[in-house]
Amino acid sequence: MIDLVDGGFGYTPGHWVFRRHALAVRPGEATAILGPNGRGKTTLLKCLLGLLPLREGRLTADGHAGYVPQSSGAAFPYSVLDMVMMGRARHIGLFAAPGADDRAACRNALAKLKMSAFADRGFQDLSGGERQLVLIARALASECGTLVLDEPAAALDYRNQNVVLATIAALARDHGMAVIFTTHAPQHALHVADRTLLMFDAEDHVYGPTRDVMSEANLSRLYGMTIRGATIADRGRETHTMVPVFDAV
Amino acid sequence: MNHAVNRAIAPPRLLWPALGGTLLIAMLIAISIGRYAVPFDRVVGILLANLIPFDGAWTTLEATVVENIRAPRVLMAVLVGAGLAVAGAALQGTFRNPLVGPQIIGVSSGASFGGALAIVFTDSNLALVALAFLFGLGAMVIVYAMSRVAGRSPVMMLVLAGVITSAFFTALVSLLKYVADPEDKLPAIVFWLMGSFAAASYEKLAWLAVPLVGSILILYLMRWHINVLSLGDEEASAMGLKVGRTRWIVILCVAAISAAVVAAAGVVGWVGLVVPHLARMVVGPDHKTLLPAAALMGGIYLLAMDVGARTLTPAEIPLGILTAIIGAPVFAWLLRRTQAAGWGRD
Amino acid sequence: MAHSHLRTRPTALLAGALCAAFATAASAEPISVTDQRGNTVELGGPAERVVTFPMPAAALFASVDGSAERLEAIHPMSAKAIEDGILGTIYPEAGDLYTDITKGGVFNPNVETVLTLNPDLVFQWAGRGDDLLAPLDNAGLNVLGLTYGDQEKTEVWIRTIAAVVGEPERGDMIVSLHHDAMADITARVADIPEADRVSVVYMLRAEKSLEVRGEGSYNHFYMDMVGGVNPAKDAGSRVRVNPEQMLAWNPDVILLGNFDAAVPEDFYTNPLFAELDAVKERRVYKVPLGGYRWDPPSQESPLMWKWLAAVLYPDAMPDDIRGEIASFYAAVYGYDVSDAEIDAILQMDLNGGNAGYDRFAG
Repeated sequence: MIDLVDGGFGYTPGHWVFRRHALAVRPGEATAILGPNGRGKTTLLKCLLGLLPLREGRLTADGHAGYVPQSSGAAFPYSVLDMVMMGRARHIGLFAAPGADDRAACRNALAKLKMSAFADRGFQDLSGGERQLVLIARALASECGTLVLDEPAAALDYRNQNVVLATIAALARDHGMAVIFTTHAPQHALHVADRTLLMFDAEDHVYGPTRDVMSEANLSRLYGMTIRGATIADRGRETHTMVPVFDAV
Repeated sequence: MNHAVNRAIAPPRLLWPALGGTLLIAMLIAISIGRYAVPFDRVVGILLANLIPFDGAWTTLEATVVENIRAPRVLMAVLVGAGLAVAGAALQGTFRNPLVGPQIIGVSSGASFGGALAIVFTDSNLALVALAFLFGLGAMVIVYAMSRVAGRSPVMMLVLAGVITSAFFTALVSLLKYVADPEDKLPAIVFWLMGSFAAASYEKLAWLAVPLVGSILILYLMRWHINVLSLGDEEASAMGLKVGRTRWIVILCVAAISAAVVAAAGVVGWVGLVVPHLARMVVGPDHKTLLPAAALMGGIYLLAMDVGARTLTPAEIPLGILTAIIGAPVFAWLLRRTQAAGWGRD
Repeated sequence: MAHSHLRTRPTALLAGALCAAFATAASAEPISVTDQRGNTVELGGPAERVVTFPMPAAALFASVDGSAERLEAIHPMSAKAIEDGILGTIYPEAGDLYTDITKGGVFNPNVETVLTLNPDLVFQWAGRGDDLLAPLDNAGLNVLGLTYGDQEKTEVWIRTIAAVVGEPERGDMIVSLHHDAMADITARVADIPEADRVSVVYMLRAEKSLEVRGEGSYNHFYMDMVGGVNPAKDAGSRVRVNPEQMLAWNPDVILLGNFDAAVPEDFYTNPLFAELDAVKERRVYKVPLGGYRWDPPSQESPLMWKWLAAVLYPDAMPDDIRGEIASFYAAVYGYDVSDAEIDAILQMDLNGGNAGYDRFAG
């Protein structure tokens, strides 16, 4: 669970990246955050994680949040299991090394994501999608109630996007986690998120149930170009999506 | 995709016996050779007689050479080699940079200044050790203070602060050289700065062991957290690691090792830079195996150099010169070999 | 020289004769000297205001001249060396000499300071970089460059100084003392069979590190000349060694130099050296310190050679060293050296307990 009330942050005095923002994510729910490049989505995430201090407002969180970056900044090549194990840092004392409990937590996390077979492979050798799942497993291994993901499906091909989105949804619905993620793709929000936050500019934002918030008008305003909605029927199911209409060339 | 990586995942099983065995053999060889010839069987006898007392066919002089001249020196070379290598490995992991060695934090320059100060103004060995240690750690405090930005110490600021502090103390050493008596004090400073184990003794070993073994132990205990540090500050923080505190403990240990080494033996460089790379080539970057491997390899490496320093010619070749002359080309070769593989995100 | 008008009386005549004597002695006869760089310096007469940079030059100059009066300024380290030794007593005026012509442990001249002293002659090191000489040359000063090292060069120094003070016979006298001593010792030592030769090591430093001298050094020259065998001969002119190497060489005699504070006791009490022959026989000697350290080349070098020969081969050299010192000091310094002073020169307090040293006792 994460609750942000009247949240404001800026890197330099007098300047705000965002202000008077609010969002609330309960266990079992997923929230998406959308905004154009450079709007400050990642900054907001860092505030939610506690990596940056809020200048205004209040953040309430139920325990720590597990962080899944877009990619890992690891300077060395580690195995998948080693990478997942790093998520246990909170639970391992400064002068201690991972123990049986920690290893069990890692294997559970990998199993949850059906990645057990990859445990001894080199992290760098995996595909983009597989690596993303490992990073999610790493966050899960930390025994967090909330998952915060930074553009989890951004650099992936469609098939991998499919897998990752399904995973996120399952973690929220089936495992009762509170999930927050940023994305550039409105379809991801529509597909997975219960609520969505649109960051128009520092003070101006909209937050609410995804269906209500993700209107053509709102999205067009957000991205500064024409976004139109479309409904697609496929295998007895209707999928609603939003697509950009590029200028005529 | 970097295929060199897979080798890094599991070091060979025979690694530890191989490294440990090599170190022991190296130590045995080292204690058997020197400018004063002692036959190998007598060396073995003299050593064994420490465990099971018996009278053997060796002279008191030979026993003195083996037990009082060579033994403490061999032990010191191994201890210092291990310490510097572990310090370098831990530092490279913490700073996520293959070009850092213990010199980067300014401690060895500060310690050099402290020692030179003692040489010029006192005649006391105790003063030399004390001032070297004092100024070494003092340099680290200066680096700490200089690197603080809004309550944190970003890596870039740390490195810059280290470079500036080093330059400052180096200049002060030059000043001391200028005012030193050219017949007596100046050569003493110059020799001391070039590094040597010629004055090794059990006494020195005793006080050297405390900061060295202590720091090596602490760094080893922190091995897993150094791995986490290598993710980068932000990611590591998000994992729950207290990045600032962890990094400073590493730096403190490295400083203790550096200052103690300079106090005991002058400036011995390049070991902390080269050996971690060699170790990483063999066992990979996981500090769980890297730190012990670096310790063993560092001991062997410096021991070999010191044997060269004391046996190749009647004159003592300053150790710091050997480590630099051999270390620099080896380092260049290593960098080409690995092509900084596996490093990359910064 | 000013002419004084005197009334014609006997004392006036005497005064006039004395003036004339002074006038001829200090007459403006030009002196031409070539230094060890090959440069020639022309002086109008004997040098009156001399500045010395090289460390041994001040003591040597005073010794050859017989006083420190012509010296205007000397190297700060020279001043210290003079104070520490007996020359401070023999030439007390040396203690007040100006020393701010250079700083610390270097020889780089502060040219403007030197110019304010208005010297007519400056001595400086040659062969140690042009930075030492060029500024002085360019300032238009008379500069004599000195190169350091062996007996020949030292004799050149002595003669050069004697020439510039207008007393070449002093130079001849001192150099002949050197030559006579060398001839005498060499002859007597020649008869000592190879098997009886004594091995000796000179330690430039023995306190914080161990440094010895081999071939190419002045110390090796005289150790060899007096019939000693230097095991460090081929190690290099000046090398640092470790204790093991000392044990390997195992010299019969060890000489401790005056460049650090090492004393024979350090060796006698050090367990590492307990097995050395020199330690067992109590033949570790601190080199004497007279008008200058006896280790490097100086005006007193003949005394060093005689002392060393007596230490190495007591039977072949039965000389009365104390008597030698006394007569040398009288001849060169015109000084009547006391027994207590001789004890200090021979470092009796440090060497007293050593083998064969009782013959040096007063």
